[in-house]
Amino acid sequence: MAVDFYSVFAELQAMGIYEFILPFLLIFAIVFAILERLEIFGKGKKNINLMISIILGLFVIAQPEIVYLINSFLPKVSLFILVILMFLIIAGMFGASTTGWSGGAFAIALVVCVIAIIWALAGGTYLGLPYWLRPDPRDKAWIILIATIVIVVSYIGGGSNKPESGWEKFMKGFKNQP
Amino acid sequence: MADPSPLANAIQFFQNFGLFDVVLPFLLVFTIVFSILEKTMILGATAKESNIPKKNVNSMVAFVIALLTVASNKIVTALQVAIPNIVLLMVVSISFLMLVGTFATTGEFDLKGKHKGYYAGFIAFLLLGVIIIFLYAIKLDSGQSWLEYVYNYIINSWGGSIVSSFVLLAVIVGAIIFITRSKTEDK
Repeated sequence: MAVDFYSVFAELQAMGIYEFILPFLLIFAIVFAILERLEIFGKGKKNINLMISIILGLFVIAQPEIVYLINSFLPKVSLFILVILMFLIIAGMFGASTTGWSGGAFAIALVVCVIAIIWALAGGTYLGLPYWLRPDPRDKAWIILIATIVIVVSYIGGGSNKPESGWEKFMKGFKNQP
Repeated sequence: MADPSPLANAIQFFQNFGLFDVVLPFLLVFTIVFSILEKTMILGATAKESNIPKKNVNSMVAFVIALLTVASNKIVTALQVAIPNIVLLMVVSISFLMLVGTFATTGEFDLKGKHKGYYAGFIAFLLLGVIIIFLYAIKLDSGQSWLEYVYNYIINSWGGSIVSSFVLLAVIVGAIIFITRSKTEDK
């Protein structure tokens, strides 16, 4: 019988590799790496760090909702990394710096990343907020009010004694600043 | 409905066995308490001026604390709810750093050193996330979580004197911090 990649992946899925093994390995690796880096329990406590990361990994795979969320979240993040990469390639074609962003450009990049994370956490591939972040009309009124106050205060409070204009500062962010 | 996978059956078996309700919470609490006692040497060292902790005493204390924790059903449930959510927060924040890191220079990504303001905001967000997760995980006798209780309290007494006082206090403290910080920066 011919073996193809489709059947291999279907077999792995049927075995539960995607539901249990991969999430467990991911959580184990992340928690272990963080504990090793932080040295919360002291230097050279590999056995303790190992134990805690195994336990946390097992705790997570016992919750199917969390595993499902991680499994749907990570591919979307990967997709977005590809989108950013494509953008940087195109921006690089026009001479913009592709690394070491700062200032306004970095702030915009941060906002875009936050939006991407919220989108990745939402259920489907549509462009909407997760159900727990959907504002009702009263929330929207509050958001608009607070945003208006913040913008007005920052506009009045900043920039009067600075010779550099906002646009210049923003464009400066695209220049490489190691 | 499709048959559950062999690994799903194994997890179900472990669940029925009590691995997630008894064994894992016990091991987690035991490991953490034991390692903290070993690190801090609160219960003393084997000899004066030696750096070898009293392993037997530490393990005994950790064992008892872990057993007491496992005996409390509410605490175990809170752990089972909170830990996966905290780990999810960890995965989300690492993904976020990965995304932001795309715009950084080659080398270790240093958010703390280069972007202190964003770093403070990120840490505040994570702290808030951890607090919310634990408030959600701990339940009252009525079955309502602490988070729901606090949220309902704030919503119901939004116009009341206590919440209004807190809002006013927050505004005053915020204004003081803003003004003080501006003065320091001007210097």
